[in-house]
Amino acid sequence: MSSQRYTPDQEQLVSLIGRCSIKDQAAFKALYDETSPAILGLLIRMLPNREAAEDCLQEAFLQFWNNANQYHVGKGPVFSWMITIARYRAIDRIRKQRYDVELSDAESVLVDTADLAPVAGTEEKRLQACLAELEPNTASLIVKSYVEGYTQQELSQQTDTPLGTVKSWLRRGLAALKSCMATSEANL
Amino acid sequence: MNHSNDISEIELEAAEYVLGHGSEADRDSTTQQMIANPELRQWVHWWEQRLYPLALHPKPASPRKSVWEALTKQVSVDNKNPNGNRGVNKLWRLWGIGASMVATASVLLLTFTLLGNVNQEREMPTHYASLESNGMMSHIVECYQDGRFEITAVHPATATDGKVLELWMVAANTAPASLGILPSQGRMQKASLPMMQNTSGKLMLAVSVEPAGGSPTGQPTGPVINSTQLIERTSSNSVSF
Repeated sequence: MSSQRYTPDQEQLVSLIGRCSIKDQAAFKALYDETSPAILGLLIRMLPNREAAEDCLQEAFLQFWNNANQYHVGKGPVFSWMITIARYRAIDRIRKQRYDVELSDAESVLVDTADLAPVAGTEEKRLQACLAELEPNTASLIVKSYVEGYTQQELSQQTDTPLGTVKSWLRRGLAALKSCMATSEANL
Repeated sequence: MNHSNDISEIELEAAEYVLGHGSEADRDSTTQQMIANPELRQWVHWWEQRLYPLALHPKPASPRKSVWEALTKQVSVDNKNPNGNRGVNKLWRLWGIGASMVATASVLLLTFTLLGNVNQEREMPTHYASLESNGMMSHIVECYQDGRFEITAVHPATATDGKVLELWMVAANTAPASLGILPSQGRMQKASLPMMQNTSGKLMLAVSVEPAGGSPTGQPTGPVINSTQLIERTSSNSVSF
């Protein structure tokens, strides 16, 4: 797998999940080869070390295999379904084990949304455009939460910002993001 | 552009859940609420769908071989004991409940055939389609260079009152050709599909409800309940492994 960002092929993944639902192990291998690097890349950002990330990846793929028959296209893109499962598993691990997160300074917490990789799909373009309309700090908090699984308390500590302020920024940011996304979709 | 600063508590709770905010207890509480609160489920699903592109940005990392090796063992054990450890967490079960999305029958390009053992060489189909029923993939149809085709039941739909579902291939200016009764389980293979070699235009598949044993006339006699395009596989939608 190259270091380039992953662009899911929805049709391909639907076929693979469909075959996993009838317990086709070759399809499972293909699904693993196709998606595991992208999922592991995210899990490495969320969890404290590679070993934990790979453990989580393994659990997630076992879940994909066992529950492939519960996916259908009405649930949205396959990769969204897979990522949701993997992320929630990672978040469960983080919350249970209360990892200590150490960052050298507040700057390292913030993700510059302008530095995100070029977007490919319509959904990504829409999300990125809407994030770009937010205050940069607020957009960074949202991205940081999603990609690295931080709680509001952790974000508060790491940005040296009062918790109430972080909550307020996030509330306003999520409201604006929802409004922007909904407006964008309505204008299609 | 200015956007509204209004967000309901339920929308906010859903967003924070998807982002991963809150303690383990907070998340457990939201998970429990979702079971009984369809609006909350819908908003969780809404945010999951909108935010997931963020997951595409981290640099991919290839897992060590040991991960796949461990998975292979688990999958093998799981197949021998299908009711064994499923490792399902609470949130996953909610996928089963489902955010209320209305799925429509849709054309789904199927990229390659994978029946068989892991890493086994296999012939690639030239054309693919999937049939859906109630938002679920009901059957996969795969056609091969020599005219053979296979129909695999995934979540097969069934007809009521002793009737059956019959599959048809439809090409422009040609009468529908029966591909047989859709299997209710497993895989069905047929020897030939002559229309594939004689038609250059778009090929469609259709499913009709027919009396037991299939259409008595050789043409569809009952209502057509589904149709989809048979899609040619190209190099851009194939993968190797």
